[in-house]
Amino acid sequence: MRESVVRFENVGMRYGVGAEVLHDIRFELAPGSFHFLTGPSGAGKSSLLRLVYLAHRPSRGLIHIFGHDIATAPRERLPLLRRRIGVVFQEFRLLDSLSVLENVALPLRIAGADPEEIEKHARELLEWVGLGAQMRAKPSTLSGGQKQRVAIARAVINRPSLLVADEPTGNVDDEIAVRLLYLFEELNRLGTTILIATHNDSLVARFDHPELHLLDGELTVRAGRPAHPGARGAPAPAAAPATDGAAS
Amino acid sequence: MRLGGTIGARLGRKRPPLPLAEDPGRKFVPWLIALVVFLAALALAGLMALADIAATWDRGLIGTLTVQVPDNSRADAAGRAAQAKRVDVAVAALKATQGVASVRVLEAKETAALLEPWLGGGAYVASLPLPSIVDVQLEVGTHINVAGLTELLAAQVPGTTVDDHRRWTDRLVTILRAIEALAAVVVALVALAAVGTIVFATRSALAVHAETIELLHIIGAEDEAIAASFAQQALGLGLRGGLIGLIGAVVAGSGIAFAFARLPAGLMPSVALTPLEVAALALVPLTVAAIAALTARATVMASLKRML
Repeated sequence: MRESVVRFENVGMRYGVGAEVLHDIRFELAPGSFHFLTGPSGAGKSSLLRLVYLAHRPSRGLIHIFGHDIATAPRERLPLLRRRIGVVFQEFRLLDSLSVLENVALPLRIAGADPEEIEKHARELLEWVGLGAQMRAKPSTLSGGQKQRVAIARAVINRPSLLVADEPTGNVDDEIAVRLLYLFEELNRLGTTILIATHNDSLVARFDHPELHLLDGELTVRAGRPAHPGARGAPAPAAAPATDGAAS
Repeated sequence: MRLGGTIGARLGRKRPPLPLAEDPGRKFVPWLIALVVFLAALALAGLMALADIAATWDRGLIGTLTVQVPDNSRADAAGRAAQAKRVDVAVAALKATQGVASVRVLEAKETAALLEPWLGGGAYVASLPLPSIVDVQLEVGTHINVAGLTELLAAQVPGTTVDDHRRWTDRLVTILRAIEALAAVVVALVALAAVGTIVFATRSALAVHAETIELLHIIGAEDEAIAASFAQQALGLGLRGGLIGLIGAVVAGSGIAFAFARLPAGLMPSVALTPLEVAALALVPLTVAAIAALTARATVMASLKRML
């Protein structure tokens, strides 16, 4: 049996000395699975994702990422685990001082990849997301949808084993949102485990994936529903190199 | 254009891309550091110069002695001849003393001129039994045993005294030592202010770049790499500011030294910083820059340690 990519056991979380925002969270993400994380605004979706992409400590419980107990894993090991996780932030979090190409290349540079390989793959990814003409542009000159695509390209350039997206369709119209979901499905077919937080119920209804539902900090798991007919067909991304710590 | 040539330079393996230079607040940091280094270098130079002067006076190496040969003879030709003979004996003894560069007997009218502020310029002064004054110049760096010399001279010419100006140099040395201690406190306070300035500037930069740091952290940058980036920036800012401050201090110090050099000879001993002291001054901006880098690194590391 293959080990879970993510496993939470009785996890609680609080910010500082505030009240607990997540209570007794238990779930597992199997390798290659695709899950939606749903729930109303303020339910704790972003907080749960922060725990998944190792930005925050749980206040209690156990978190296993790629089989590593985060509480006992050596601190110097965590950057290597983080490099196996691609994150698409709700507010994009692109660095305005860097060009689009430099933003996309950032994870590979941090991982210490060869500069020529980095440029090659960053260019390919930007062409794939339709931003080949904006490589030298600064993020501040892009539209919300374009920034979203840059953020996605940055998240996947490292060929992550796990892709976490926080409201990736929150800033785009329905048509673009569906196309983005196709794109995530293509990545999933290539073996990437996907976890997408959204409060867009109609979008969730169109795709056949199980749902982790959060309400008032408590999690329930819902089985997938039949997919919307024709919800397939986005082009596959160009292959990016597996780098230090990246999934093969 | 190759990526390696663009972000390659900015995103080097040992230099993650932290756009600290674009933080408007950090433009002022080099000037703050320049001011700190300027004050520190001047205070340190003053401290070292004061220490040198005090040491010179303390060792009695101001370079001159004043010997008085009392005139106990009658005011007639025989008496003057006897006094001249006594002076010749004293001069001969002084010239035979090791470390004495030159000996000059002041003429009677020169002695009278010395007393003029107190006794006036009347002709009667010449009739007073004034001692003969012998001005003795010592060789540079010579240490004279004043007590021994006095004893030697008094044995040959009874009543002869030697004045190495110790009475008033002692008071000056005391004052100088107090100023020296004050300057040392100033140097210490300036050093503290430098550390405070850097800590404040670094924390401000951290506040501005907190999201960037967290992003790099989440993407998988190692703590050391992020901290090194901040430290490198702080080092650059510190060196730039330190150089400006040191140049300012050298210009100001040279001006002060020039003013001192114009004082009448003998009023102040000449002070030239030794190569070691010059090296210590050159170390001020380097030290401040190193403090900046280490503080930046420690501050960033502490911040990162609070994250998972």
